[in-house]
Amino acid sequence: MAAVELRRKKALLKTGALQNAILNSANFSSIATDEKGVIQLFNVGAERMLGYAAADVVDQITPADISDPQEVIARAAALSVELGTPITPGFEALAFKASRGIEDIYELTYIRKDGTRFPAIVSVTALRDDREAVIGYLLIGTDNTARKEAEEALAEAAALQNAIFNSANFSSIATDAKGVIQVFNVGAERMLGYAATDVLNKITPAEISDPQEVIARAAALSLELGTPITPGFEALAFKASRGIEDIYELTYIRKDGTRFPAVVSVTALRDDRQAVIGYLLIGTDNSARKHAEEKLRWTEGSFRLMVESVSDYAIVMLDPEGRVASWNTGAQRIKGYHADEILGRHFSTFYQPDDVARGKPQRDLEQAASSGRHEDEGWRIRKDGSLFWANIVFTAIRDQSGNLRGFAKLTRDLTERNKVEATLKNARAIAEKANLAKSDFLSSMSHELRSPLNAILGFAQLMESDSPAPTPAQGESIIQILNAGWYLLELINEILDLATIESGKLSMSLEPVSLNELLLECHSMIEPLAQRRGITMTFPRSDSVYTVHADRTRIKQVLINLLSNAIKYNTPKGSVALDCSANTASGRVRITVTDTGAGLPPEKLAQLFQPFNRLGQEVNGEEGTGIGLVVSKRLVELMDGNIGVESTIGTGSVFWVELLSTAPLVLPAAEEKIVAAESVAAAPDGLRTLLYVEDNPANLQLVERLIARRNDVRLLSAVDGNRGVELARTVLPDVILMDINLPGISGIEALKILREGKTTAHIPIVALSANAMPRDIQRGMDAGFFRYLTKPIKVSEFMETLNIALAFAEEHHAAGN
Amino acid sequence: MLPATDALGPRILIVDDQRSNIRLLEQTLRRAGYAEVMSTVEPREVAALHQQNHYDLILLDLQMPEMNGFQVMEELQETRSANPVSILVLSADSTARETVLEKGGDSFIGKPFRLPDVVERVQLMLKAAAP
Repeated sequence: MAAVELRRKKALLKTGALQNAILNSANFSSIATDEKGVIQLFNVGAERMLGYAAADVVDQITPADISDPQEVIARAAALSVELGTPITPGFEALAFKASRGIEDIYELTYIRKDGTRFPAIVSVTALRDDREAVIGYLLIGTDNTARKEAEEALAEAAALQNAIFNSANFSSIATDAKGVIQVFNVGAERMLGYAATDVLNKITPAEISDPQEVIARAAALSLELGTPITPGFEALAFKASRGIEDIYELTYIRKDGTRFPAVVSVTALRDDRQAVIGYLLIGTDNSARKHAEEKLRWTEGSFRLMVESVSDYAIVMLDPEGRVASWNTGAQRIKGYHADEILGRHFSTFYQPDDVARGKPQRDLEQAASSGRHEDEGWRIRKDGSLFWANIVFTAIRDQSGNLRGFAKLTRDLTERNKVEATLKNARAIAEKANLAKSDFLSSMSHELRSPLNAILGFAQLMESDSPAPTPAQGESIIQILNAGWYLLELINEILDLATIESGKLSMSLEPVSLNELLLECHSMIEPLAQRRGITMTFPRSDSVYTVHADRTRIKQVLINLLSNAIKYNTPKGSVALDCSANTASGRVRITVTDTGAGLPPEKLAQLFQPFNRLGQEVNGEEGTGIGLVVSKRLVELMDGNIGVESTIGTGSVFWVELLSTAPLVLPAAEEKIVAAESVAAAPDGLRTLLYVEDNPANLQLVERLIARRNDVRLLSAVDGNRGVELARTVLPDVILMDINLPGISGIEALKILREGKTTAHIPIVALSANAMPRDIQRGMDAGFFRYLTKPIKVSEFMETLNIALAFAEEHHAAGN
Repeated sequence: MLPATDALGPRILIVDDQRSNIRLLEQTLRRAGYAEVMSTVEPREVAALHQQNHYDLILLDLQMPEMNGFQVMEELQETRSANPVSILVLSADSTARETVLEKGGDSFIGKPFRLPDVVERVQLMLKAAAP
């Protein structure tokens, strides 16, 4: 009995110790209940895990009250099914199994006092009395959070492994310790073209690898690790077998013999005791990357070759400090250094010592660095010390983060171009100088010739009008002297014209010119010559109206020249016909002068507009230098016109001039107001007098129309400066309108003469001129014009100026009286 | 101040370094009825002569040694406001017209000239100056 009792005591002691250990452990929640589930005991572990104090729960609630109610319901339902008896969702669900003596350990979510939840593993034991009647339950719980998390991590890792293993993008090959393939996944099948069955237990990964590479790798590893490594699977797995991380590039060979570059990661698979049981080789197809790399390498290579082989430009890379980092053929050609001699040297070597002393090389680099690009042109030194004129462009090279990596320096040798340019410039200057010299010479010569000619012509004129009158024979001689003299003057004037045109000093006064009036003037000027020579002249009927863009005086000079040539180089009793026609398409008016002369052969036509090629003089001994046509051509061209000739031997020639057609001056409609001749003497009271001195009838007509609008102004006109001055003195107009380019005295001379006269000095004189350059206007204002208006006439400006001038005149008149 | 003209008509001075030109102009003007025609080949004397004789018109050459017509006009400029005088420039340099008008000349005739043109111009200018 005693032995039994002792055993029992020992057992109890043991049980008590275990119970104590469990009850006092903070790592276990120990909850004891009565047979109904009401908590009777709530240990420190339970307090810590669940956040309740024992007093909160003892005799108050059952463990079901601190469990997830959904789980309790689910468990009740599950147990009902499992055990074939209805089980109440509540404490019964937690303790039923234990009550039947079945071992029960289950997972359950406990809910803390603060409402947070945690997974627990709960072991339930029924507490029984001596008669095996249940008197309560003990629920021992552990916090399952850490394990749960570990399990989840494991699951994730497994998923990842699965993903890798089942991915078609990775070849996963697992081998045994000897390298014989044991696993060959879909990725490997796809990449390598083998089915798993082709390789499993048959070959090692070395047999699907490039044998040369395997041999090379074996050799390299032998060297690296100092131990002989067999070319074969060992070469692929040796590092991994030593626990060294190993990722390498390798060419795999497919079943069909084609090859592809792969990046292979090798891991040793080990058992619990760290013994290697196999290897896992995970490979990716590196073709795309390899391809891109090769392409890049190729591009870089060809770019480098291109730069190197350029020989027209020196393309040099400098490091950030300015040392030469690369050197091409062009640099060698231009500067004379071979790459070996110059690489690493500072680029200031190419500068002249003075430039270096002044810090120019550094400044150039700094400018390039600050602005990204810097261009310079100047002398640089070759290896042999000779100088060359260089154009240099520096470009700063920066990496993606903006750090200065160096400079690209592009140099061109412009020495030759400079020489050519200098030569050309020089030649041009010489030619221009020669041309100027020629113009100056012609101009001064014509002046020199005029002085003695002035004496000849002057005294001959005196003799001609002497009293007593010269004898008939003397008279005849005097006329010969005068004719020759005036002709000589004409030649001199032509030479001077040519010189003036060629030196670019001839000023043109371009304005709309009505051909009708102009041709009438020409006709009357040339008719006497035609009559003396017995030549019939035909002019167009005056009802055709053309207006051209021209200098009135100069176009008259051209037409007179053509007409007098046509008369002089004609056949006896010949005829000359002038005609006009408009070409609406080209916007030009063509004036033709047709003669009935001998005509000119083509080779002579070509020379016609060349200076000093007088044609026909050998035929009829007619005077002429041929300069007239050259001058005419130049003048017409200055008016944006053309001149030409067509000729038929035996029939005659047609000289033509084309000028830009322009709109005739628009004459505002107004009643004609005719100024009677007798009204010249004195103006009726209140009527103001305006005198317009103008040789261009078109302009005169326009002003007539404008003035006709006003009842308070009468218009008088004069066609040249002399008559203008005379008329002004006679009628003392209130205001004078004065053209500048007038035959005889100019508008400015007329102004000056009127200013000298006591009676005319006060009259406001308004210039109205086609000379519209600021210089012309300034000159006019300096001379003393009241206002300076430019043609074409702008009606409102004209009217306003007229009013101002009239007001000014009235003021003066009032003051004078 | 003396009147610009006296009983004998307007006073004219011819300035030219070439005596032949002076003779030509003198005869031309005398025939045209101008009695008070004087002359000098010495451009430096012109201002002083004008100060003394109060000419109505000066016929002035441009190209003269030692002192050209422009310089003569410049010298005259100082006395012209006190003793007004018209200046007609006669020059073989037909391109000088604009410059002459800018520098104080009143009118310009190129050489060689037609005698009637000279007479007409002189008349025009003297009439203007007449009271």
